[in-house]
Amino acid sequence: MNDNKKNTENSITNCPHCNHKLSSWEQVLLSVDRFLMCRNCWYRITYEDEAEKKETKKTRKERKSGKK
Amino acid sequence: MNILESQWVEHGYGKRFQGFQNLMRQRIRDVLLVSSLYDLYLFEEDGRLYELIRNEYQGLHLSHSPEITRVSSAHEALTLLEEEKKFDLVITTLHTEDMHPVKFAQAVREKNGSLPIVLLSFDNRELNNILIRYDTSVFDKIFIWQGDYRLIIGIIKFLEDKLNVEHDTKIAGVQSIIVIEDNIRFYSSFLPIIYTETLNQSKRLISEGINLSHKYLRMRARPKILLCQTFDEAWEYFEKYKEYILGIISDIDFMKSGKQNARAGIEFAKEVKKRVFDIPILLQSTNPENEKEANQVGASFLYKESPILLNELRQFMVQYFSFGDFIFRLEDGTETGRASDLLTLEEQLRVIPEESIKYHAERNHFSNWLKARTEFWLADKLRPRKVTEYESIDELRNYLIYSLQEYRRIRQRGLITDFKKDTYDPKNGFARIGGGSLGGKARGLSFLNILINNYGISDKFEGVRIDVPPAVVLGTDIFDQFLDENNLRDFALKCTDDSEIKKRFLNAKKFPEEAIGDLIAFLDLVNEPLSVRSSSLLEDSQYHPFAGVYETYMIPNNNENPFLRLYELINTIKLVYASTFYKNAKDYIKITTYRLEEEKMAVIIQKMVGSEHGNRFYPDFSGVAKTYNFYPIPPLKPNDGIVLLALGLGKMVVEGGKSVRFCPKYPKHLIQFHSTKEALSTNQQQFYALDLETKQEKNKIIQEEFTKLFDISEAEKDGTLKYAGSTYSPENDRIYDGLSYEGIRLVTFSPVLKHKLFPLAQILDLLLDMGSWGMGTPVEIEFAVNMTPKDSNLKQFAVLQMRPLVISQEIEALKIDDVEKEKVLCKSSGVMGNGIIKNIYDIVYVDYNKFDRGKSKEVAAEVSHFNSKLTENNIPYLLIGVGRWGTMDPWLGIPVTWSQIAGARTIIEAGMKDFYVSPSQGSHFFQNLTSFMIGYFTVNEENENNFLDWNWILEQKCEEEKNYVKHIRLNKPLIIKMNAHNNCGIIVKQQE
Amino acid sequence: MSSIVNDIIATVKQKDPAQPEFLQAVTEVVESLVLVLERHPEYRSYKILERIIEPERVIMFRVPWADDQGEIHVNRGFRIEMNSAIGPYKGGLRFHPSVNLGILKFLAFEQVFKNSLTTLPMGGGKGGSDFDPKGKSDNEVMRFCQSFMNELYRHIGPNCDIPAGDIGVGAREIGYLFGHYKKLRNEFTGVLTGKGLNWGGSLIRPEATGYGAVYFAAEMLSTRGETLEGKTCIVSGSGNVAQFATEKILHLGGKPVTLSDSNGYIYDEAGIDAEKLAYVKQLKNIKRGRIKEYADKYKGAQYFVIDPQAEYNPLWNHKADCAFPSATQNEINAKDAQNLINNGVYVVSEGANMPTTIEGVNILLDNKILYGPGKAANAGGVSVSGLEMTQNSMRLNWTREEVDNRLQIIMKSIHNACLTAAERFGTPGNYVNGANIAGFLKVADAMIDQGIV
Repeated sequence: MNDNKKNTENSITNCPHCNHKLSSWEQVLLSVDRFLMCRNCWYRITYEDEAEKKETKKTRKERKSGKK
Repeated sequence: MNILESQWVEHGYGKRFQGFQNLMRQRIRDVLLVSSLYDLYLFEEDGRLYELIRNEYQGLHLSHSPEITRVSSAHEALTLLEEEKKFDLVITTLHTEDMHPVKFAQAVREKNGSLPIVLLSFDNRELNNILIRYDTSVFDKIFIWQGDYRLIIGIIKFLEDKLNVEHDTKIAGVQSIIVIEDNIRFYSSFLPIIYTETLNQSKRLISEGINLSHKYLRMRARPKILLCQTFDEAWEYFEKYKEYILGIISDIDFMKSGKQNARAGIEFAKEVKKRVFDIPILLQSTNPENEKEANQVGASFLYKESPILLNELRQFMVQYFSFGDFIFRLEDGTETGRASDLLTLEEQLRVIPEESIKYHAERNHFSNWLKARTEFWLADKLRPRKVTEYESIDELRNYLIYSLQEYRRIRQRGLITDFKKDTYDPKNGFARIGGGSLGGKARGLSFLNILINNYGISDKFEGVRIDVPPAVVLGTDIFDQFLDENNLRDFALKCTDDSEIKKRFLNAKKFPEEAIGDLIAFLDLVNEPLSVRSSSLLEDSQYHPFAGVYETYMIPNNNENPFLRLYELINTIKLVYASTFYKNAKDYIKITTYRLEEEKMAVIIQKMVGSEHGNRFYPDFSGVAKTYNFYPIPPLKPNDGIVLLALGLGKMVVEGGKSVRFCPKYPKHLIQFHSTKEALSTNQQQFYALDLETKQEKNKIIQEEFTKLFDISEAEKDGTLKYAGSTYSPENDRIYDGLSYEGIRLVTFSPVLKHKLFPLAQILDLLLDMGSWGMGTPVEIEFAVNMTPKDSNLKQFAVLQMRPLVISQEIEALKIDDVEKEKVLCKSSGVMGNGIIKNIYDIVYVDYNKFDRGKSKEVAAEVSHFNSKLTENNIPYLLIGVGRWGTMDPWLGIPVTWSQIAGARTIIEAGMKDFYVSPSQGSHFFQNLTSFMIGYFTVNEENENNFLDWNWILEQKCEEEKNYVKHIRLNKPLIIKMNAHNNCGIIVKQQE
Repeated sequence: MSSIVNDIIATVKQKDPAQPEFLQAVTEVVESLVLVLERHPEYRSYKILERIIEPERVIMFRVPWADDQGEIHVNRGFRIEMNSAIGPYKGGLRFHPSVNLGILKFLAFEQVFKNSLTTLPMGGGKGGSDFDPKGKSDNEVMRFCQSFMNELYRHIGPNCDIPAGDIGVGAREIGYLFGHYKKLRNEFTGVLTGKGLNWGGSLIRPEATGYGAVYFAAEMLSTRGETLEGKTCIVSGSGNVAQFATEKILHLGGKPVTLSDSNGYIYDEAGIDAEKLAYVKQLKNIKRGRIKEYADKYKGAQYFVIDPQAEYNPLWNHKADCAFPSATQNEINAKDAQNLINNGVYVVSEGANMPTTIEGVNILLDNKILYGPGKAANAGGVSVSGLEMTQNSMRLNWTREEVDNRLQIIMKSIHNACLTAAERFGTPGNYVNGANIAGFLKVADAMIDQGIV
């Protein structure tokens, strides 16, 4: 059930390194500042890199389904 | 991704978007001047050089004026450079005592490779001599002193520009002017002129409602001057910064590819025009015949010997460098309108003919004009749009207007600007009246405002708008003026009678004029109920939050007579001022390290949140949220936070009335409603609202209190109970969510907390996190919600205050391990509460050996007896017992009511031998525990972390004993330490 | 004869050393039955005592459940089916962290006699779990209840074991338990009592205890050929029991003059009529106010503060005919009892549990007061449970009047049973003995009839 938040498909909800869940404020920080230190493993998450990864995954899927 | 696509954070609150602060990072601050004393004398004129420079700096709104250190010999200079290494620039004259300036420069270069060195000559002849005979390429530039002290400034700015141009252009797209001139005398006199002109123009343009500090910052984005001597140097700059070149001012006769070229300037202009057709170019020459050719290549011309050179230069800059008004034209040059600032630009855009818009948009005139005003974000927003991207010119027009409006809105939000009637937006403005400080509360609010706006929190939740209600703040200067004009200061500081203080303040005849005018204007714009709150200087402290010390008032502000509205408001402000000196405040300040004389009061006048229901005004619900919960019940952890929520005005919560407690991370885990009995007894039955009927009448006693209590049934009539209500059915002994059943209404907020009517828990979770991130400490936030605001279809979540939570410093110092076991009376890992208690000499305990569960009722009665005895004499005590305190089931523990043990400052609950007693209590008792901040230790099984020294207790001589309960008085107090972070605590005996 | 008592106690101690509550309960019951046991040696030779203290069945089971975060928890579930000699097992379920085998056994044991006293065909049982519903979300409670029922359904049924609510098991939990039972068994039956009115619950539940106490008093009066009409009645407390006792007194024509709460009491010489009672209900149930406000509203009434340290409670020191202690335990001590007698009170019917101390009881008995102990007088609540079962079996819901009537009939029967038993055993008019004995006899006799099972 939707939780009333505006859904951004590209929003990053977990640390890509250790999968620690990011709190809603940390997600905001990440999307505005474009980078965030994961408090669990100290990995430096960069927004652009992650967004790109999601994009490439998507386009790959689209290409696959498109080709069929 | 283009940086400029996202919002600009001007103040550095976002980690990376330093905005203007990141510009001009490399600075010339310390100048080493090597010259003879006489040279210096020449410089100093009548000793006013420094002063002049400083004035110039300040006048031009440049922030750092440089320090000049003079030495007379090259050796001295070299030594200083070696030893101090702090200089950013070396200026040397031709009169260096002991070494030839060129040799000196070479020596400097060797040791300090990139340190700029400039040669300053006083005499043309001398200079020529040097130029011919020596290789002066070691100098970054050579200048001739012609008596204008502004040359120094020019030199410094020129070098700073050179150092920063690459970075600033990349980061913000700061523009540059290329100046090509090889004649040293000419550019020595010319450069300061260009600089001053540029700086003055820039300063003039940064005007709109921006704080003083921002003006300084924006000056850093002024156009840079790139001074070149040759075609190649200039071309290199041009190629690199093409799109950011504001214009070119150039000589015509200078070196190209190593050879002197009498038409170099013309060729340069031609090449430039080929690539970017509309860069303004000004060519100068001592030969007036060059004018025709200059015009042919599309450049303007300036005759160097013209007596009005400066004026013509200025005109050129104003016209072509967009320093002047934006002149709307048609293709053929006819003027169709003018705009001098963003506001008039927006107005003009609405009426200008389409052809004009097309003409300017195609040539990026809007961008350039905006950039000259350092409005980079706007410039960039408007720049890349090609006219062809739009379906119609009208669409383009609307887009331009919309961008300007949006920009204005964004900029206004999050900043406290000076209150001006025409620019104040009654929907979301936050402005100040009068100077001085804004006080702690206002600062907190403003900070919140900035965070909310800069991080896009406002519309993060669908259907909801999160904001700080619009307000104006009266600065502390108004307070000072008021006190001084009415001679109240001494009296107020000394008087100890609150009613006398109130009377004198209310009767004070004078009120600062400047404020009255602004208040009238404000009241003209805002006709809704207002809250008038204290915001004192000392309130900002993290250790003494002053919560509840000063007064807050709410006024209906709805009298038909505007004079009476003003009267009501001013009187309320006076009341707030008066409360600064009431006994409550005086007592509080005594405990802090501050002095009352230091205290000053700013006043926040803010629109109240809520809706009108008949003659009542109140928000649908409101409350307080804290990041830290001192008494968490598992699975809740202290850092999960806690919220207290009530229907109606938040006064109910803040004054400790009945409310719903929940944790924003677990909104469905509601401890109050697990049993119908608990639910009924802890239920909120009344709510606070502003009474709109009572009107202030002139010359009658000032009405102070406009808030009233109403029964919950009134909320049902108003239709507001539906967000909060559940129904209790006595026949079924069950609570049903919603109001469709018949029965007793309960305020449970289940529609909001359980059935997602409003994302309260998520919003609070986010804001609490944001608040504590921003303030660096746990915070407390006051909020109010209006589900049906008058002029919007978005629900409103308003943040009313944010302040740091007081957490005892002693937490850090708490070391539980350091005490020898013999000294420990009790140790526990299941402790609720926080801090240190050092004043307990008395212990009331239930004898472990004699305790018989069958007799727990008698035990309760005996405990009650001791409690009364001790509380009558105001003696706090430690209460120790077996089993659960406050349970009504005699098999589970000791059935006392709260009042029977209310005098205890700390309670120990020792385990029954045969079963585990969890730390949770019947929640009514528990709520009292938490609201009275009683420490609570549970010792269930004995191990190294949980221990109670019964033997020692039993050995002590009794002050009085009954059958099961005894009272001991110690001659040295116990030390009780509790650490809420890890729920550990210890009680130490000091007795021998 | 003390050897009987000692023997039993020794047996319990040896078999269940870690169950002190159970031991205490057994001790009390046995001590009160010494008379009976002396007179009826067959109870000893049939080993009734030894059998009756041993539960017919004890079911202990694992109850695993997951919380909202996905974390798994494990609790322990119990159902003690104590005695089914006179009817299917009947008793509540308690969800509380303090729950353990010993506590439930003692509760189940007492339940046997309580149920028997109602003269309805209900055996005795009790159950529950050490689960703590406080602070849990609705879904978590639901999941727990479903997991609990996953095991329990095998052992309960409308003709075999009918649980009800208790501490920690309210209407919400009964709902979840019932819903899941229905799912598992695919049948809609009266397997639980305390159900919602929409789906099988009975009316008059909140009123039952209060009404019952008054009916009992009326029965006691009828032994002297009197009714409650015109009688001045002192009522203590102001909760459910007191409110409805007051209501029933009015129905029957009596004149209640007092009500109290933990701070004090009001004395209204003119009597508390229906309108005033309605005010009290509003005050106490909705506004959660103090009884003192009654005196503010009705000027004819006086308010007195109660001092918990005082030697006696002035509430019991007014002229009256009947007294209905309906507030709490130990509110009538020896002095109070004496005061009651001195003021002419000759009927005491206990709405609360054990409101009179042992000394007080003795004084009342010695003075031949019509004293209805709580055990009997407040059995109205339990009785309505039985009536719910009846309605379920009939698949019919009675009206309020019908249930009320039935309740009155039951209270009559209880009264008769007590009176008869008391007479039989040489202490005529001693309802205390009567209650203890009546309850026991019915069960004991049935046990003898049904063979050694």
